[in-house]
Amino acid sequence: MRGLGIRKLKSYLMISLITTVSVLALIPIFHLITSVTLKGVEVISRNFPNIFFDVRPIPGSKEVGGIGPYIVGTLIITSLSIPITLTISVLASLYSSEALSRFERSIGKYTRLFTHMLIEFPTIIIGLTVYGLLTSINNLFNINIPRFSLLAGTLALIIIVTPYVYSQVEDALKSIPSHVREAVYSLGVTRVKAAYILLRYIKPALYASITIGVFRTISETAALLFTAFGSDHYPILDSQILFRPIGTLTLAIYNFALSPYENWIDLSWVAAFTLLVMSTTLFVISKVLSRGR
Amino acid sequence: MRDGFSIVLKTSWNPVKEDYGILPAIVGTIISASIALALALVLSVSTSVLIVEVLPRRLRSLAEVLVDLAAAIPSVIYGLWGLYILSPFLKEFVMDRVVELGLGGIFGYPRGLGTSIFSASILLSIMITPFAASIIRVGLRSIPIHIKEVLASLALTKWEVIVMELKYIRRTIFTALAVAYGRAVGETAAVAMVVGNTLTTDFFKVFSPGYTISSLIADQYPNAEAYTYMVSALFTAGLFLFMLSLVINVLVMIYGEKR
Repeated sequence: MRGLGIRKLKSYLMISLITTVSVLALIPIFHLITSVTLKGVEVISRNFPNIFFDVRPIPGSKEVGGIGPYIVGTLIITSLSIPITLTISVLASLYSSEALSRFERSIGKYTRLFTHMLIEFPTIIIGLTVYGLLTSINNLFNINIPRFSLLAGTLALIIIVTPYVYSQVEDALKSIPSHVREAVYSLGVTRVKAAYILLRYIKPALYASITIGVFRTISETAALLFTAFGSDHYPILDSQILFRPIGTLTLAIYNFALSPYENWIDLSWVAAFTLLVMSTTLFVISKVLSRGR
Repeated sequence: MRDGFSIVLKTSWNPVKEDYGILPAIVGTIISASIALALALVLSVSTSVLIVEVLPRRLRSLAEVLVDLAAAIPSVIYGLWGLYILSPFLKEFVMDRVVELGLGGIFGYPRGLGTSIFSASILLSIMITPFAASIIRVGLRSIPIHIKEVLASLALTKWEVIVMELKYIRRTIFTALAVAYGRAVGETAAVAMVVGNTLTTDFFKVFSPGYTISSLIADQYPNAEAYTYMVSALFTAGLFLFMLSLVINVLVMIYGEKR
């Protein structure tokens, strides 16, 4: 064949080129992980272990302070929203994947379409929606639900995370082999009982989707800006907690990073490192779980 | 709306006079997302080809895990890194160099830490590459075996095979890029941290600090309620963002691969 030498040379050159470009794409990721870790560990070592319990320091002072309230806030908002998210998405995915009649199937189809669109929507719009929704509810009934509150934040998170968990659970339900499904339905049990058996069949995938849900919840920032709003004090556990703003790790990173004070910026790195450890752990867990499928 | 459609065309943002225009934010969004997309196209296609076709098996899974992990890092962490590490780096080694060449008039002049539309674009491209790469990777993997066999039987070089395969999955690549563009347009936390959040008259120059729609909303909401019309102005900006992502979604649904 004519010109084989040139073609081979070109092939070799192009493959070297894409290798170089890919390495260029991976370098920033490496750099990000190492720099967040180094900087985070360095600041943590200045006030270990109190940095995980203290509140923020006075701006501009030499104190290190800590990120206690934000960790607690993240835990509270996650434990509030995840059970609701999970219930909605499991029920919805059962409905759309185990639909029997044509009517049920068409509702399932639109649910799927809608959630796929919802996943791709910018989360800040969902934050705006919750804000606007609460405003109009307040105006309509002449009441005063605080818009910057744990309640609003939880609501926004539920709307954001449910589509993710839903599509995970639905994929898992869809991947059940048809002989298993037929066997379950041939038992003559009620549909609720059958659904229960099918859910047990996809248990690992169910756990994996919970980790993904938790991951999405703890890493959300944009929608929480004008719903949860952020707070720098430990949340007080009483009946009014739902109606007060709450701080989360992501909001702390955002607000501290944009502040002009050295010691707040340091805390931002600590919060980033903590969040990175949390999300990496969840990532590993979900990888392990989905491998066992 | 008090202003009618002119809010979209105005470039001023003056809460004291209750005068709002969101054109700079719209332009900023489109410029930053487009630069990011162009870079991410090259980066994500290369990365996925490298992982699927070139790397030996053991290295392959390592690279795969790294790319997936990159997609799993919360965006606000990218923002922090972009603000204090990437932007100063870009300012020193790219923007200042270009300005020294006398091109500041075209590209604008970087300020402060180097936060600008340009930094936001680069950060966005780093962030959306893993998303796009994971979709393209699945596409490359799902090429039917008979197609691969035909390609193998043609005595092509490795590179020619790769080009053929990429042509075969072009719909998947389109889907991946459209989804990535949607993410870039809507990304808030990270962009709001590196884009500079300043309204200037030279908002179309990439090295100047600017706004995107989402960062405008994120940056202005705390004082929005103090003014009569600012909340409405921000909701208008939100409406534009909504329409932009709706268009992208519909495009994916029509031209994209059926997922």
